[in-house]
Amino acid sequence: MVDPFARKEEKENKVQAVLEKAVPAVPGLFGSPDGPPPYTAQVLPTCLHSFAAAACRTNAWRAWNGFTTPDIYVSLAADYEALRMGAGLVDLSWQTVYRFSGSEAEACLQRLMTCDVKALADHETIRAFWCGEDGRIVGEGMLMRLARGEYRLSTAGDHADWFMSAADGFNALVEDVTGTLGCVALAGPEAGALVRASFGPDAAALEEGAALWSALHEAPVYVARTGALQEESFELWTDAEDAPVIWTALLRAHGTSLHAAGFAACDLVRLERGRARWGMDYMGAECALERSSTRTPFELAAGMSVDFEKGPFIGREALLAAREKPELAAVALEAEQSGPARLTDVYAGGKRAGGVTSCGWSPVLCTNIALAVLEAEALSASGSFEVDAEFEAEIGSFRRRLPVHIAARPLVGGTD
Amino acid sequence: MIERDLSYDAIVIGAGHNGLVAAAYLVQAGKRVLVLEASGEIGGAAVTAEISPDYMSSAGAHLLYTWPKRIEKELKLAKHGFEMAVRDMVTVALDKDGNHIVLPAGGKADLARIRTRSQRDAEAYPYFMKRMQAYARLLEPLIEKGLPEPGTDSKALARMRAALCRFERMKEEDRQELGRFLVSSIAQVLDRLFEDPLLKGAIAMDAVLGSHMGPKSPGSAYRYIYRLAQQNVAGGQMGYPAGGLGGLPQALSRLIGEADARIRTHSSVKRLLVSGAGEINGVALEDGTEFLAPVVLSSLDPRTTCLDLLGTRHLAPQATRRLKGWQKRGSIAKINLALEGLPIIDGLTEREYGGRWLIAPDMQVMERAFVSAKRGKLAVEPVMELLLPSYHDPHLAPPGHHTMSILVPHTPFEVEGGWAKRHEEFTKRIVDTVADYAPDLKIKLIAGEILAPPELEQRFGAESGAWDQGDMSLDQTMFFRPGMGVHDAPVKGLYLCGAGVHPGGGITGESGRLAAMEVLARERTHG
Repeated sequence: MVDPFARKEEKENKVQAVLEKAVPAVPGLFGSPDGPPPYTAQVLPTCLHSFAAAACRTNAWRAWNGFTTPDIYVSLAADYEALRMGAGLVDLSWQTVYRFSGSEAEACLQRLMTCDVKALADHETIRAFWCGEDGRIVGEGMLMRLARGEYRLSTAGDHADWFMSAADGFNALVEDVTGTLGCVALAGPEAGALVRASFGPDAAALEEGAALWSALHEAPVYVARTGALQEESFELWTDAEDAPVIWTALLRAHGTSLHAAGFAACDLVRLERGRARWGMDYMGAECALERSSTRTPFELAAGMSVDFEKGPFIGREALLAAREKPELAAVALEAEQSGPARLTDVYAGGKRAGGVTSCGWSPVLCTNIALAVLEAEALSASGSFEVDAEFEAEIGSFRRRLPVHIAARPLVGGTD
Repeated sequence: MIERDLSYDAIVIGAGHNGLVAAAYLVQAGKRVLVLEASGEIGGAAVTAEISPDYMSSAGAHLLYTWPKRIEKELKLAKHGFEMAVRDMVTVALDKDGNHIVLPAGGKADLARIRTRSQRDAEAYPYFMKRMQAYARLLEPLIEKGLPEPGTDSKALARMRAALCRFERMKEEDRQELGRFLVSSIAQVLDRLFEDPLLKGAIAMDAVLGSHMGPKSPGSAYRYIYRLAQQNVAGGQMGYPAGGLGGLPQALSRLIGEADARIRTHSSVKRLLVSGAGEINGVALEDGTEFLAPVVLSSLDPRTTCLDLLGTRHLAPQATRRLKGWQKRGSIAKINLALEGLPIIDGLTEREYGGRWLIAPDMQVMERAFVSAKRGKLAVEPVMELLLPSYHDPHLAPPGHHTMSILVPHTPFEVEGGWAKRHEEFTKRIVDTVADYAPDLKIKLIAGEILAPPELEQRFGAESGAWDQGDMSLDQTMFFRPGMGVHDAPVKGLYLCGAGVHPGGGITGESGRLAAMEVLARERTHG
């Protein structure tokens, strides 16, 4: 019998040969004969890949930011329960990480970011946005100050060119250190207790936005209470080769209360907090094809991340104007109680007023929730909204229009 | 030297004609202005210099064709000794057999000349010019009044609408033709209409002179209408001032000198001073002197101003990338000759002797010259623009004697073998070519000087000899050229006022005027 895989490979080789023959004179178009062809995306495993795979019973993976990470470990409900009721262990090593260093790293970041970087003390973290000249967000991430003149920025997307252009003229070095570090989040109401047990009371008592150096099994761990994932969450940063040690040690030590939680559950928790995700609810100004899919921090209700008092920064003039007159409003919606559905268009008084950017069914609220973007006018004018919802039936699907209301953020839990 | 007077209302960097015009407008509005010039003389590329004792010529640029009468009037330059030696020069495309063409062929006599060469061309010419003028008129409102900044100024938007209105009123057929025209080469356009190579060469010369483009380069057609529009805005005439082009900056400097302002030469600016709040504070010179002012106008090109003087740390990454990709390629040489008498050219009338002569026998020759320049070679058959500065201003040479000023486009900045070795060969080729038309030139030649692109750079500070401070191509003019907008000068209080900003190159003074107007307008609105 002929091996179908061998035949497939043979066929691919043939196609490649034909292509190379057709365009023989363009060097680099198909790359060097040994290396991979350029301009093809390659999805990488994270440093925790095999350990995450061992815990992942569904074998459902999610490709995000150029890495694969388990989407669901056991079931969405179980993963979610860990995050909400006990403690969830999340692999965040897929994040893009930049290191800013040098005597003028602070000055460079101060100009780059909309927040006041100078106010950041050692071992403090802050949610940071960076915008273009026109005030549209290029990217967002968590900025940590590790020491004087040394910062770490974890984000999604590729911003190397942007940062390097911005660092031009400063005595600052920007390095992409993605993949050299492992990052594990420990989140949920039990997280504090687990951190106390593994890293001591100092780590457990960390204020939101603070961090410290600790160790587990001789492996240095940087414990940061960033609140990036949910209110009660810690990020544990280690070297990539130490990450599996931390992962297995934590799971072994706290097997009863700690469970791995996948991307889908994290996304649901994020939705319940009402936080927009870069690359999902809006696009960065550098990679967006349409202006309408970009946002200013004000349109994301993240105005507190913009500090006009700190001095000049990129996009300041445009943001001053945008603060007065936001074109769009990103809002959180809560539908009337119903089964899980996919929400799409939002209507105000029968007229389309905007669209849903991400949605999910919240087990706590027992209803569909969504992040949507509405025209600022429609928001101020109308009080009642409806949303198109697509329900899955056993076979096929059907549509309904559901009444929705704008919900305060966070939709679940305390203050954000 | 100890500086006592360190604080001004405004500082202008560069005493080229645009810098001086900007300074003059500010002075007129009662501002205390300091003009800083790196070299020892003012005027930039608009200067008159001696070729040899008693023989004077415009050293760099030699013609005013985009110089608006409006600036002359508003600044009352006549009062300060500015006088045109001639205003109504014609263009003469020289023919070896004496069958020359005179452009623009407005009169019957000029058209008749074209007809003797080609009946078809004489019929097509008025149609061609009418169409070109219609296209040029689309650009005029935006060249004259500056570009509107989106979403800010309603008056400026009205101008934008005026241009759009003109576009809307065009026939559908014309609009489509315009779309094709904008990206075409001038050769494509001319080959469709005309058959006489001399006529085509003469028209194509206006499209490519001063740029790094041949007649077959895409986009050269657009450059033709841009120049036409600039010319129309300026009044549509061509000439030069008494005393050569140096007469213009001299008059401007007298105007500035009479007011509470000063021009400081030998003052090379090293960097711009920016306050902690991100506003301009002043400038620091190479020698360490610091001058303070809340407004700084730079007539240097945008790239030098922003990347070198201001520094990338004050720029957004978008601006840094844009400026690093800014194209400015110069490929022009200047030759000045001192002559013992009027060179004799067969078939020229008196009016035509005082005209602007073109040696561009056909577009093939021009394209070949461009291709040679692109490859770092000297053209075998150079093309050129010539005139006699002493013809209308006899003071420039001893009685009976003359000076000749020649611009040679398509001269490479870096030539094979290096300029030091090939100067003489180049001069000989130019003189030989001119002698084909004026056979007695070599006998009458007394002295000459040549400024190859590297020397133009050294003498006038025009980097790579690019006098436009940035190619005047479709992708670097109008909305793609920096203007006076907030985003174009990244730091509050900094304005660009050189040829590198809209409306661009040529001795126009418009960039300087528009920048000064913007400074005054913003002062009014923001107090």
